[in-house]
Amino acid sequence: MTGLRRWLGRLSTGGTTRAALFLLIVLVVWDQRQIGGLTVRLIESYLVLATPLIVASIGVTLVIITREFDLSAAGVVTLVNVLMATSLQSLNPWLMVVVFVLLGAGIGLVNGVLVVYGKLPGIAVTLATLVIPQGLALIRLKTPGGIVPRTLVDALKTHATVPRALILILALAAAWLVFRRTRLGMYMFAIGKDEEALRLSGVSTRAVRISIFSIAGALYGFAGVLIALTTETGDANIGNAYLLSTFAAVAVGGTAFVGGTGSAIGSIFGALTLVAIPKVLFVLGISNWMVQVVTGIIILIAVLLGAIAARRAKDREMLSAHYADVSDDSA
Amino acid sequence: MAGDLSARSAVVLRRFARPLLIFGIACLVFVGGRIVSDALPSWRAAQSLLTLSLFVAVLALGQGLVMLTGGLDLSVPGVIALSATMTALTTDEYGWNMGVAIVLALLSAAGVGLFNGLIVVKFDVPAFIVTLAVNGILVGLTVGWTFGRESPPAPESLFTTFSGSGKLGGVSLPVFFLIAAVIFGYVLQMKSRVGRETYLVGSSPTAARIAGRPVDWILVGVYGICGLGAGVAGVMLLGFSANAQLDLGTEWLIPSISAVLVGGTIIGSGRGDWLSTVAAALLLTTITVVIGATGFSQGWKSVLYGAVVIVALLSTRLSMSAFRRRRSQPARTP
Repeated sequence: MTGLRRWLGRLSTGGTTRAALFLLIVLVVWDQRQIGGLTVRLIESYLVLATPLIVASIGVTLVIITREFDLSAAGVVTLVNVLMATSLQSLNPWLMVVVFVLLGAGIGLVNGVLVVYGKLPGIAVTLATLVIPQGLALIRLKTPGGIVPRTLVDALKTHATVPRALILILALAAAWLVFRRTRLGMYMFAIGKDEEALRLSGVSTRAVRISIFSIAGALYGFAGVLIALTTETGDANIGNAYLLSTFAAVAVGGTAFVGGTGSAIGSIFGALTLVAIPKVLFVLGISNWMVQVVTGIIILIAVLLGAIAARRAKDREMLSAHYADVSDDSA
Repeated sequence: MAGDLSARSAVVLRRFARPLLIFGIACLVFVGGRIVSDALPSWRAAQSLLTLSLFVAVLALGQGLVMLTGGLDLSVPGVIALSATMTALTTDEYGWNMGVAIVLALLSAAGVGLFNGLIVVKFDVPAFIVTLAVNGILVGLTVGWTFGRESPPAPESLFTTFSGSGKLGGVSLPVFFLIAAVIFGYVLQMKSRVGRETYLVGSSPTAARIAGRPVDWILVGVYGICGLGAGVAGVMLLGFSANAQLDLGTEWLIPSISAVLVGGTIIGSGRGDWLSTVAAALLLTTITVVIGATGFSQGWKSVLYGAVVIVALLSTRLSMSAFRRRRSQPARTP
């Protein structure tokens, strides 16, 4: 009994482990109920479908680790999606991707500068940078349509022994593992934990925070490119769904909204789970409207579990700090 | 004595400077609408503008209180859909008395708000993500409930009251509701105990806790008020648009939050005043009406909203630091 409790305790504190386990359960259910089981083709298209959300939610994760909020993801994703389908068509497709990633980074830079130098709450600033790109997208493209460069679509979707989307996801995970050990990555975590301490140690916390907002923006731009490639069209109304699902992916991924902790790998699992849920509910024969309800409930539970785990971790930290003090005294 | 009087009038001036400034800009935009359309400015346009402002103002009251305390309620569209659908379905389909239907709808709306508040306070999680999830749940449930009976119609009397067809002395009824809402909001936010407690918790929850205020319950109550406000707006919007469409609330969320921000409320600072929020609601609605008259894409509305919000945020920040400098100077020069 106590063993079970300890195991449950570990499960509730390890966000990424929890997210991986949850994804596994969802996938097993899907495999069991899908007629013919999960084929390679099915998994391949599922991974392709999940890539935009994965990339966008990694961006959101970075910002949340610095203890800020960023609502602009949905706006940038929408604008880039529409521009991919309507603009710069004569450019080299790969150059086009670079331009749009830079556009996203630019919007992120604006967010960062306004939040840091304007001393404004991130949630208010990014509300503005959410609606402005959405408006621009609507002006550019009233009804869904446009053409997305074939070369890029094929680059993501062509059938291969190892699915291209899987390579992309693994590359993102690897990049995260490297990034969190870099100086910028460590400062990002430190800012979320205690910005004042980092500033006192002589680090320009402003530069760090602006960099993180910009990197996040670049990721949103890339996510917009990926949406264009997966849907092969431009749609100015795609954003509202993304507002919920990016934060949902982060929450289900086990990143608590307290700053200083979080994992992009968890968010990858979270995004994969969120993309799988509608499919699982479909094979379970649950009607469409319930999908929204179930998704909402899962997000709530994930957020609450994250909060409880974060509180526990904090308690433990304080406790161990107390013991450290005691041993210092005795020494 | 004279100095005292001028000091007092300076205080009054400072308090009303911001709302008057925003209101002045709104009037300028309205009159300037002449450039894009011959139908502006006119008494008819002013009435429809005030009607639209009513919905923004009602939503901005609760949202403003939530934002004063550092939260954000994104469940508003879901609550609007819920309360409008409840009122329409129970009267049209089940033949309930309209009064009973509305009371029930408002109670459920307030209930959703209290639920939001409880989750946010008990688990110390960010309000916007909780309310975003609750919004999804509510929209899903409403779709499930109305399945097969698309957008039930509003009760007749509700339609005449809020669509602008009902008039009193030549003035359409929503205008009176707007006046009532403004007065009610002023009393609630600036004069009542609820308002005072909200400001206290917003400017420093720790101080409020030390002072022995029931901080948690105040916060839960604030979310309850926000839910109730969204419920009221849902009933009004049902009358306004004659049918309980599911996306009834979607287009009103951003205007109401923007009105609070443009009105100078800084999220989680306990700073902001109701009259500025109302003036900002008028300004933003005027922008919507003028853009509607130009025949430009609706996208321009979003772009302008965002731009106005950023300008307002920066000007609030600038005026705040100027105010601080003024206050701290005498201390430095004895």
